[in-house]
Amino acid sequence: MNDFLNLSLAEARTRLAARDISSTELTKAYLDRIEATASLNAYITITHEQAMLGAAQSDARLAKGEGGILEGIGIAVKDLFCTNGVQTTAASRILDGFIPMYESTVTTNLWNAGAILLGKTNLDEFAMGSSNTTSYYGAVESPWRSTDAPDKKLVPGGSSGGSAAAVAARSAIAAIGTDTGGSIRQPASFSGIVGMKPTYGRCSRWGIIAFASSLDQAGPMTRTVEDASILLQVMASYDPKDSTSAQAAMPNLLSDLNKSIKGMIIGVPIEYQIDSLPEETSKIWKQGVNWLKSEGADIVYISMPHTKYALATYYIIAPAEASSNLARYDGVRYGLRINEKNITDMYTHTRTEGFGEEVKRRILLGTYVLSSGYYDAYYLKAQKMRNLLYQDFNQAFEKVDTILTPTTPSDAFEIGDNKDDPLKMYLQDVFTVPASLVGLPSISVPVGLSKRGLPIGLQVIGRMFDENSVVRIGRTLERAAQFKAMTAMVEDTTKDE
Amino acid sequence: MSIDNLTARKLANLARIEISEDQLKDVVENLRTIIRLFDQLDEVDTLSVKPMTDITGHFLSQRDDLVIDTDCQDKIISNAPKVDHGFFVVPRIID
Amino acid sequence: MNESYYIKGKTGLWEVAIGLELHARIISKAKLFSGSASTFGGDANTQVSLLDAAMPGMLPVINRKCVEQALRTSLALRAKINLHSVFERKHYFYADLPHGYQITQYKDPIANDGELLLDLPNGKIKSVKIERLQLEQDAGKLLHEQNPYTTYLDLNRAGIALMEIVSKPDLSSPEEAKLYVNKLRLIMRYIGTCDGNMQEGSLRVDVNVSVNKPGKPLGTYCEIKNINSVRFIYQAIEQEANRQINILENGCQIYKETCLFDPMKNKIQSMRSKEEAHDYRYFKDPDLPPLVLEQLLIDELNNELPELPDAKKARLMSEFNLSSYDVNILVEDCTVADWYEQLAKQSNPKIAANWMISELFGALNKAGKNLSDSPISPKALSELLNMIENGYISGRIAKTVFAVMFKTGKSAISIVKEKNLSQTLDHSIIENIIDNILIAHASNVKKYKEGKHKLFSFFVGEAIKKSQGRANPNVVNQLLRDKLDS
Ligand SMILES: [Mg+2]
Ligand SMILES: [Zn+2]
Repeated sequence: MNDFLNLSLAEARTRLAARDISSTELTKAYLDRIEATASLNAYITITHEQAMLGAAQSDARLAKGEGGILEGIGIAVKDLFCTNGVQTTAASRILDGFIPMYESTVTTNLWNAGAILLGKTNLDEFAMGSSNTTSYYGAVESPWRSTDAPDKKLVPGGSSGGSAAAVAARSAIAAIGTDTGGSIRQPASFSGIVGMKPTYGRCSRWGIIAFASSLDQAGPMTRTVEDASILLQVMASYDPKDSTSAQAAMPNLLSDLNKSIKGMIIGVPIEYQIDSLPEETSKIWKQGVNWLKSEGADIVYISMPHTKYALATYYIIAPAEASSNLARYDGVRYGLRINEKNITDMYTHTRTEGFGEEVKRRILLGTYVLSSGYYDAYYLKAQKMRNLLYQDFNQAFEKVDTILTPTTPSDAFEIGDNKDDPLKMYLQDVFTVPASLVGLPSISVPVGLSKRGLPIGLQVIGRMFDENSVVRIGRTLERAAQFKAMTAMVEDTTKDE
Repeated sequence: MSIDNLTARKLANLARIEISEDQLKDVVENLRTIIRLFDQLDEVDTLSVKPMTDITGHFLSQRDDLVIDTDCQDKIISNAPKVDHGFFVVPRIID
Repeated sequence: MNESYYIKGKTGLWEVAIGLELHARIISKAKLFSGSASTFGGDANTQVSLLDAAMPGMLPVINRKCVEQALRTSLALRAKINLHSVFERKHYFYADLPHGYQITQYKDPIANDGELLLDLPNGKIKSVKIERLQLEQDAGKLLHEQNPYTTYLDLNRAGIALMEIVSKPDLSSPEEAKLYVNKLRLIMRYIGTCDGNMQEGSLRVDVNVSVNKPGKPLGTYCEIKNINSVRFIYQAIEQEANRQINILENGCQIYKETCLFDPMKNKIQSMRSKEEAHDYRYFKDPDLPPLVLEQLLIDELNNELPELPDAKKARLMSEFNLSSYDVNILVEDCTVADWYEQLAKQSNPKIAANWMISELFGALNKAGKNLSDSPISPKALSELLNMIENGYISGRIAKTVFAVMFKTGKSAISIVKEKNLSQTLDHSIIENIIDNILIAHASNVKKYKEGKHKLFSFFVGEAIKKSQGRANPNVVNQLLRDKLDS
């Protein structure tokens, strides 16, 4: 039975197609696992009946030798994707009970490929956070525990923390998340899984609750680079309903996945070696460089002088867009309403009660940087900085094919840490935001453990629309690192086999 | 540039968010900390830099003039806190 | 009318400067950024897409037709089209604005620097500069009448495409403002970009008014919002100008503010208190890349543009030798002008203009009909006019025939034949009638022969009367001269 939980998505596909296992068995195994790991709080909504029904239908198709690329495979979906007839909350009280009567394009692509919705995963409220502690439905707990304080609960990272925890805890074979400034890659790194943010525009944003429109991208969260490639291939599509959707066709990510990287040029940006970078992160990064070198890649040290301004730039642009995108939550047409006699009070109380502290903080920040008198100094300045960062990457990519960096400065922290210091929390994103601001594809691959026995990931950033190189380097790191570490929680389940 | 209590109140009012008296100090303090991070950008001379408003380089694609969204009323009002005869109902707006 | 418009205050004469901001609803099937219908009316919230209701995760996609309509209008206003324009978000909270922002254009609108020519009553032509033309979304509709404690919201109008057309403060009297609105509306109707129906809100006008002493710079302006009839524009400007003069002459200052005009009380009311400063926090909509247009498309649209009112007027005047008064009436509507041109091609253009303006419009008016449902076609009317021209019937008879045509839709010829109304050319019958008249009025014949030649027209009149209008006056004249002067 627990054999199912150790399958990769690729393996599950093969075995389903061979009718060696059934979707009903597989789905049931994961639904049971969701129940067994409920204490992690990774899911907000579990679509048990819908999933079992879908599994039966998939089995019928598989029996006839039919079915799509993901036929019969249950996927966990971040509760930021609107799902037809299934509660969609963005982990906010303001959307508690909201049931969209429409389906996001990305999830539609999954279902069209035969995938099954297992449930909607928890996240930081409106995807704003790096710890998954700001959810109205409570914090998500990482399945990982550190060796030095095994009784302390750790964050899975955020904002796609529920998806990361689910994949790490084996309560989903694969999950999808969204990444605005690192919300896929950072929790992937903390949780010892693979997380990928494609090029901005690859995945349609239609039906994804908006946080910061010029940065938001959907992406896969899986246990292997191959799985991420399979899933992303299905998720991505040109969507005429999204004016920022890319028309360029996605190349076949699997065809080059295992090819040699001999002769490829990898850039190592010196500015990512920040003063506060723990030595163990530095060491793992160097290890990554050496692996790639031994696989035949050329290593080039590059300078990206504006890197240190990326974080400030990001925390101006993302809240600005968020303050605008979240103006629609006013209690008039859907969601929470706090009744008042006049409409202004209704708006104010609905929004005050409906949004959590972090969301309100970012709305205020965004309002500030766009308001008259401050627009030029902050918002306009940040747009100019975005251009300089773009030029940094452009110059780098004249010399290199991909860039290798750590995903996060350090390993996972305890639930409750950084809570009172938003800036410290924001520093989590320091390595992930530059690629976000420029819209570049990037992947986080788990490559090792910290001294405390917690996963650490490395990030590969590629050129615009060059997901192929990103997954190839990612796969190479994966093969070299042989990251097999398991959380105690997962080990337990595999042992009793 | 920094932020004071009055500015914070103005922002809250613009954003239709209430900051209670006892929260105000913390809110302002946190905003200040973050804005200090922003002020780091002053180090960079951007006088001749063009603002980047689009990372895609796309131009706007255009839709044909077709009425494709019909019979939407159910989808529109199904989540509404209060409706009457197909209208959304809100507290009285005094003109 | 006076050359210039002044208002007399206690301290002397004042000039008025007026700028107009028109919101014109674009004629299109679907809305600016969604696929729901943009027709007027409909049951509450039945023409609302997920985007129009600002449901989470919904995204705008622009409607090509709306862009082209804005371009047509810009071209007709001889504006400079910006091949690169940008959509921005304008933020404020109001229940009729589902997103909490309006998608509009701000820094880079679709067109700038247009011009509109006004025909002033004194015969001069005035050029009014148009600052900008931008595309934007309309808001929903709030209803306050249902219940004293609540307001009802209908989003059918939300997201319909509007063109905001902003003039410079070049207008200097309420009359010019009126002419401007009428002219702009006429142009948009010609090119089919806005139906101009003010009652249904297809055309809404904001008026910026300021006053100044002659020779002095323009004063601070106040904006009067959402005026929905040309008459009210006139009244609102007069009221506002007088209000401002009154304030200034009392030594006070004008503050820039937004007002509403109450047509019932004929009064200006301040709409927003000064304290609540607006901060719209404009920024480029991250959901919408820039609108980039090709010159080829602009050229194509320009070539396809129909003849505009000014050009049509000039052509009709020279081609048909009509008065400016008549032409103004004919070009008031391009269907009228088309109708006229068809008629004028088949009959005497001058007579055609007279008949169309006085007889046809009179009858249509009385029947409460439009030209488009006229029972008489240009061809049918030309047949009637040609019968007069050829002397087959008299002008007076023609009016009777016209009335029957209008009522029954029958052709002029069939009516004349049926009722035997043609002017008889048979000399012997006319001669017989004249002989009888001369016998019956022997004393007048005597007086005439004694030199009272004025009586000639009396005999003509009697003969026509006796013939029931069917005697050709030329023939009557000739026969009478023969008999009386021989
Ligand atoms: Mg305006
Ligand atoms: Zn406007």
